[in-house]
Amino acid sequence: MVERTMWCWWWGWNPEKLENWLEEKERQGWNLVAVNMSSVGFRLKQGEPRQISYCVDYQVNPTPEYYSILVDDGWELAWSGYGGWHLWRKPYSNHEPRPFLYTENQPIIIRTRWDQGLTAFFMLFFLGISGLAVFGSEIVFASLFGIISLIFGYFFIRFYQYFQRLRN
Amino acid sequence: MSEHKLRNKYIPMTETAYYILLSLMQPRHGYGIKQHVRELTGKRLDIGAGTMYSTLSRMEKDRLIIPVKEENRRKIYQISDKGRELLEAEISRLKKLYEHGLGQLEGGI
Repeated sequence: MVERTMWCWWWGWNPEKLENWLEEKERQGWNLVAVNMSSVGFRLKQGEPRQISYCVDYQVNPTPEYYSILVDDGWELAWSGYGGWHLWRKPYSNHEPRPFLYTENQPIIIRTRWDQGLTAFFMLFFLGISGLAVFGSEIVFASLFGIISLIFGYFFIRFYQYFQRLRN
Repeated sequence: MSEHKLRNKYIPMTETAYYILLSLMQPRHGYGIKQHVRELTGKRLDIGAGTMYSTLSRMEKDRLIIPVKEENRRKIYQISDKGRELLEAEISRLKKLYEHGLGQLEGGI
């Protein structure tokens, strides 16, 4: 059996990219075996083509109820990563629509995820700035502050666009 | 949460919330609710498992539903008095919508 590590560069704001990529790989007969620690490297084994829906979910401290509801509904947990990321999969036939975890965009979920994402961003941003202030010289501080602000600005906009898409 | 705030939050109700509360007139667990809703709506409404979990968690937090027991690590829920009041308010709103619609159609628009 041939096994390969393939890479999919997905981010929190575009989980659909990973979901569609994995579904396409399964259709081509590349079955997911494991996800590596980076969350972007995927161990795939050549086997039978399968029709499987993949869904990324974000749940911080889910209760046992979360797992039982999803497993009862035929979902299998393929991977769970740092900070609450979960990857679920479920086989389906040609005669039924692709299953999804969420059938309704509930404003409260969107708001909660937005709040969580925003909190994480600002924590990282201030950690970066504090680190620079403590360890960097004035010139290094000024230039790196600008670069970090640009990077975080970019991430912030991409996340904002993702939540706008969810909302719509 | 005050009754006023709860009404603002849940009414008008989403189809998911409406059918979940309706299903919990009888004690049921998450997957049991999903199956019941599918049956009741002739497979038209199939609530996603993620949507089911998040809606149940929210309703439990707002005390619209209460866990009555646990079987095989699955919580069995039932509608609370507060949930029932909210459901009745929504049914009365829907009834008015229906009557207005019917009245306008029959009377000619």
